[in-house]
Amino acid sequence: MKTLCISGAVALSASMALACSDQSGLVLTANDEAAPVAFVTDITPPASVPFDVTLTLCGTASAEVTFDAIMPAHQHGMNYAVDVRQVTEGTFHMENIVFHMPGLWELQFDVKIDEARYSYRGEMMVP
Amino acid sequence: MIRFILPCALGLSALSPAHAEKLPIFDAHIHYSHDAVLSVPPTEIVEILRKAGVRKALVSSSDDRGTQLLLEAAPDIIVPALRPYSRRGQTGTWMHDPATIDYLEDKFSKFEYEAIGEFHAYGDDIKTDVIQAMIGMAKDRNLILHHHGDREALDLIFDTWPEARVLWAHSGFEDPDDISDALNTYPTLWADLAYRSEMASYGTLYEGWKALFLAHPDRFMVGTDTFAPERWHYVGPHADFSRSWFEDLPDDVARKIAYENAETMLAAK
Amino acid sequence: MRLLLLLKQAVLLAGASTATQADILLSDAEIAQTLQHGPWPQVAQTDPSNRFSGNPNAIALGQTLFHETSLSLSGDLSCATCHQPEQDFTDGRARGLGKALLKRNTQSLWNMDQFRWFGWSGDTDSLWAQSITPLFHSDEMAHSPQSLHGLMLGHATREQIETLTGPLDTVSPEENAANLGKIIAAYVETQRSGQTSFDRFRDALAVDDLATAANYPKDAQRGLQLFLGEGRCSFCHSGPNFSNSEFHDAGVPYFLAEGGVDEGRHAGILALQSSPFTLNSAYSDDPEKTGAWAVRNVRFNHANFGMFRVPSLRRVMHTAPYMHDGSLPDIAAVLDHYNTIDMERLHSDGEAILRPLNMSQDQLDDLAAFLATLSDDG
Repeated sequence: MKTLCISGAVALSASMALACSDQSGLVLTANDEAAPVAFVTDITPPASVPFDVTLTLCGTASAEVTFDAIMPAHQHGMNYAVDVRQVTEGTFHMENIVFHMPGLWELQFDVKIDEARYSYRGEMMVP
Repeated sequence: MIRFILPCALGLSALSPAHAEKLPIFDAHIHYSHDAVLSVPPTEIVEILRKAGVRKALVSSSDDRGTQLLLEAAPDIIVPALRPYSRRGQTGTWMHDPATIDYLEDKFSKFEYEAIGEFHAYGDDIKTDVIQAMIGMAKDRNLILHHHGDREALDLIFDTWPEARVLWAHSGFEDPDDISDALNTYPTLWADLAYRSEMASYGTLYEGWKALFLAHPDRFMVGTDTFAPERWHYVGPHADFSRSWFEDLPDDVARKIAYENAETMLAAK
Repeated sequence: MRLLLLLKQAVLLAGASTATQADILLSDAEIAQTLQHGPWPQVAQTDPSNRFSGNPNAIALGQTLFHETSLSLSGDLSCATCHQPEQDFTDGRARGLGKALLKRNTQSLWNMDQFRWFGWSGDTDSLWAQSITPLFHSDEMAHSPQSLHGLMLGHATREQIETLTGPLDTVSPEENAANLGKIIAAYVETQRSGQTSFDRFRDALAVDDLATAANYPKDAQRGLQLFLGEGRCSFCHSGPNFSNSEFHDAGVPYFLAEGGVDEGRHAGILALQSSPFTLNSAYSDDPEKTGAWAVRNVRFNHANFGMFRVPSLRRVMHTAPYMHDGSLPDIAAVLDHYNTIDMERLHSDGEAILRPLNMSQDQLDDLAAFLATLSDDG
């Protein structure tokens, strides 16, 4: 499992590890140590071509998830909103993401679980 | 659970509000700089503003000549602000140029203003002699500071002058939580939404932004930011865009953001 | 003796290899970037939203209709009036001329299947919808759906059209327009530019064939390095088609001489939102609505005002003048524009990509040499 941007503050609890025993992907950095471990499909996205990723929230049955991304070096975001769909317990599908330039993109997830809100960050390089 | 970030397949009507169509606008972020003066004459500017339903506009220009031309052409609409730049390209250098002080003093000796700005300053820029002197001039005249910059600079402005009335341009390009924190920290801070379109999608406000506006209904205002001369032709579409998401707010909050908050800010001397 | 011969051969080969390696100026990272601009040509795929895509009869009929002046209300304009095949589907003018002077430069029609959006402002999301646009534009073919339908009922090509579409008198005027757009698009999408010397260089690098790659001129290699690096061109001119098919502010003024402005992408999105002819509409022949996500999810940003679609650079040397309004007469003027770009025109918190390149004349010449290698496919 690739661990880009893993946060030291995010601990993998036994129950979460159990729920995500087959995890493989890009682990996201959370803003809160209470946030569930989260990871997304580890891919190299193509430039300006739509692609999908799957987000897994370990030990989480349901949540409200929003997704956005920016290109920090250029101070711009995406030209399209992204459809987010829960596919199974703790698994969310993001469809038709378009990173319209090569370079480093920052993935931003806002997650609401009951009354708690967490934000996650990760990075992807578009060749 | 399915959550779409953007409502699907919305039509043109979503940007052409029906009920809020007549809501007047106080456009709190307008420039009429030297290049715009050469491209769009004041008579056309005034026509654009009136057609867009802009009843007041906080105008600052590099150099100041454009503001004075507009003030002469439409004194009922134009609220003059003094920008500390003689040319637009000085946004990153003006605070290190002592000539800025002479420029400001010269303008103050000739004209009346309601604000200084929009000026660009980040972090320790506020500590420079030029900006400290400029804040002193604002204090002497009790003028609003229209600041484009980060939270650190904003904190330093209030450190320098705790009672300042500050209009935070583009709300610092911060997210709703950080804007909310700044508004909670400083009771005399107002926030403009110029060049920000991420609060809404085709007339529907996003949850975080809507909560922000409802939590601070007295603090926000809109602005077109005519940073290039052509963007004067965006004043009308921008007003329509604003009215489209005003529809998603209670009438009294919409009215406040549309024009009342800016008028209150000006009156809060 | 045999060992000595083998050693000699090995030394010779190593020498040859070193010499060839030296002929490639690109670093490993630059080679990796270069590979992203191919392969070319891309595999041609039919358009699922156009049931006539790839149909030889439709392609032939589309070519006829493309040149058909009777499709204009005035009877003297065809698609080919502006998109002249012998001029790389352009007209050589700064701004197109229909019944009146149009707002924008006539774009070439090469490799249309590579784009997500069509036209300078992306007011359509399919080639067939874009093909309808001039039919109804008041300064171009100037038809209404009804007048066009009436025209086609008595048109010389009616029988050929009906072979593809079924009876014309049973379809609505709008469906008739969609069908015509699709037949014309079936022809236009077959216009694909060929392999250039850049593509041969790129393909050779892809298989480590340095000997072949070394045939690529040094000035073009230096220009490519600038294109990928210091010039920051490949952020927008990306991929095999050298366009990300998106919209940017290139710092070109967008006032119109006759008054007002060209609103660019802002107007494009408004047009999309009100168009009956999108990939999300009933006129798409694709039950899966492939590609409709774009029109559903495109964001409305203040920055869209005055933005224009990134043009492809394939055959770019043949499509002067340049930019959305044709205001730059040649490649030298385009390079000069980016070399001395007016930063005051751009928002201080907008896209932080463009800045004056301040390149020397030699560097600009190298960039032009590289661009020429995207245009030498005959």
